[in-house]
Amino acid sequence: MIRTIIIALIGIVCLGASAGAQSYGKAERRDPLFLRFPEMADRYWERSETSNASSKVVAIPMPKQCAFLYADAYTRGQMSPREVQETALSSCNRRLAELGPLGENYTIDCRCQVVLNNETYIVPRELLPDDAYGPVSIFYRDDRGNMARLSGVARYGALIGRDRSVTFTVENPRGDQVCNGTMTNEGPANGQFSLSCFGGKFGGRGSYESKTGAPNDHIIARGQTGRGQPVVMVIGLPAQLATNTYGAI
Amino acid sequence: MRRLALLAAFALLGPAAALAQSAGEVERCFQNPAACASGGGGAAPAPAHTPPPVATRQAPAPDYATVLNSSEADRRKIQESLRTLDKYNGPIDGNLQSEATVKAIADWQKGRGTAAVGKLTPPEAAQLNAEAARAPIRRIEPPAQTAAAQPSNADRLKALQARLAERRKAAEPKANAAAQALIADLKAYVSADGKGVAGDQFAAFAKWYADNKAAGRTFGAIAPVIDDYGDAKAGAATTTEVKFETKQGTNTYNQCLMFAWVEGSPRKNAQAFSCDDVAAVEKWKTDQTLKSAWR
Repeated sequence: MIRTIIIALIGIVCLGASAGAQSYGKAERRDPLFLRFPEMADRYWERSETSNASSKVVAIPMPKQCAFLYADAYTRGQMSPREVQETALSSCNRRLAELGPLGENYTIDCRCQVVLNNETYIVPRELLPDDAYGPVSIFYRDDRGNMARLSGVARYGALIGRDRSVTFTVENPRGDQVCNGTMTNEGPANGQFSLSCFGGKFGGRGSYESKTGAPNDHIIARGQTGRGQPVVMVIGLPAQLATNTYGAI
Repeated sequence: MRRLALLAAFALLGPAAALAQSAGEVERCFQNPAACASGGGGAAPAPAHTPPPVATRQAPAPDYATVLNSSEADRRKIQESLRTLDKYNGPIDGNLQSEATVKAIADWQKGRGTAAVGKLTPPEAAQLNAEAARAPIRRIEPPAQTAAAQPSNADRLKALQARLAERRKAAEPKANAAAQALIADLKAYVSADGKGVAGDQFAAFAKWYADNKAAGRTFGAIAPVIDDYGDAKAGAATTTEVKFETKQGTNTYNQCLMFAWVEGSPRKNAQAFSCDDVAAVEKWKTDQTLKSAWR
């Protein structure tokens, strides 16, 4: 009898806790998460095949500075809600793994987490990305031909390509802000950028381009320092992948 | 005496400013910005009467004269580099101020995202020559009398597009046959109510079918759109988007799966993906070392 009562009490406590943990407010189309990932926003809110799904889930790497990719999963009843969550989570983890190690950019552990379930946030809002974040790599070749490879995390306004001008900052893996800059768009996916680091001791300017699709959505910015030396900045790819793709300057 | 003091000050400051731009110094500043922000990182401490930091100094005017007045051999080298990079198709005569050369330099500068001024600073000239030296395909110099008759870049682009179209046309019958064979297997699987090679080979499709069936849907039209085709390490590889029409009551749903496989009997390395999962499909192609004859 006592055992039955204890089990029932544990059940009630667990149900209460899980119910409480699963609701941090209703999501809206204009939330930063959707501004950051417009294709996902389109599927989540607009496209009838997915937006009307019986279960729709979004997973992103957390904490928020890791959220440079996402995975969304939908069902119209074929899968259970739990299966949809597992699908989103495993898809997010797979994408993260495919892009390679993040250790050169982050000192924290980036792990995928389901953050949105059926238009309701299931993590506290203050923990969600409030801006766009991504791993950043800066490649610079000095006038003697020596290369500098800098890796850290970039933070920028979520509306690149829509706002006329977006400011960004770069932090080294220790979390020190080392650079800031501006991206000014000229078209939906391209424009001019400027970068200033260490109180103006190093910087550059040139043009950037937003690339979507495999291996991951990213921004590639190419320019020069004031002395005409080449500078390349990649936001959205881990350091090794960025080096292999754009490091030969 | 005052001039000597000024010269001495510049001699001290010059290396410090240069250090702030060396790759090693930039990396050190990135790792430890606090040590850099105040006085040039690893550089010697600045004297008490330090002038404004580098960034706030007036940038000197770009030096274009040095390259324009360089030796003829150097100027010819620049034209050759532009030619190697497919920016220049004119004579190699050392005239960097000819209309074609200025345009070629401006094109090259534009391609790097810098101001297209049509003239080069010494570092830019060095970068241009280095870039040309790294170019993987070297042009075979045509005989002098035929140089003027070289096709333009636009003609070359057209020729390339024509070659690609020809290559795709040649691949089309095989790609279509592979896709139609898949569609036949998918239809047979649906007709047999979830039995057949399509489900055995494409596990994700079998699950998708079972889920739809469990949801009470019936299956309508099945149509392929070839995404890619070409030789892979294990044989001819195909990736095909397949659109499925499913119905439930009065509702019609259009769904899509991407099928990828290497030809064989049975198909090899067969996988089905969500059509949204572009990254996974591209990774599959990379894993198969697919050399596209389609794109």
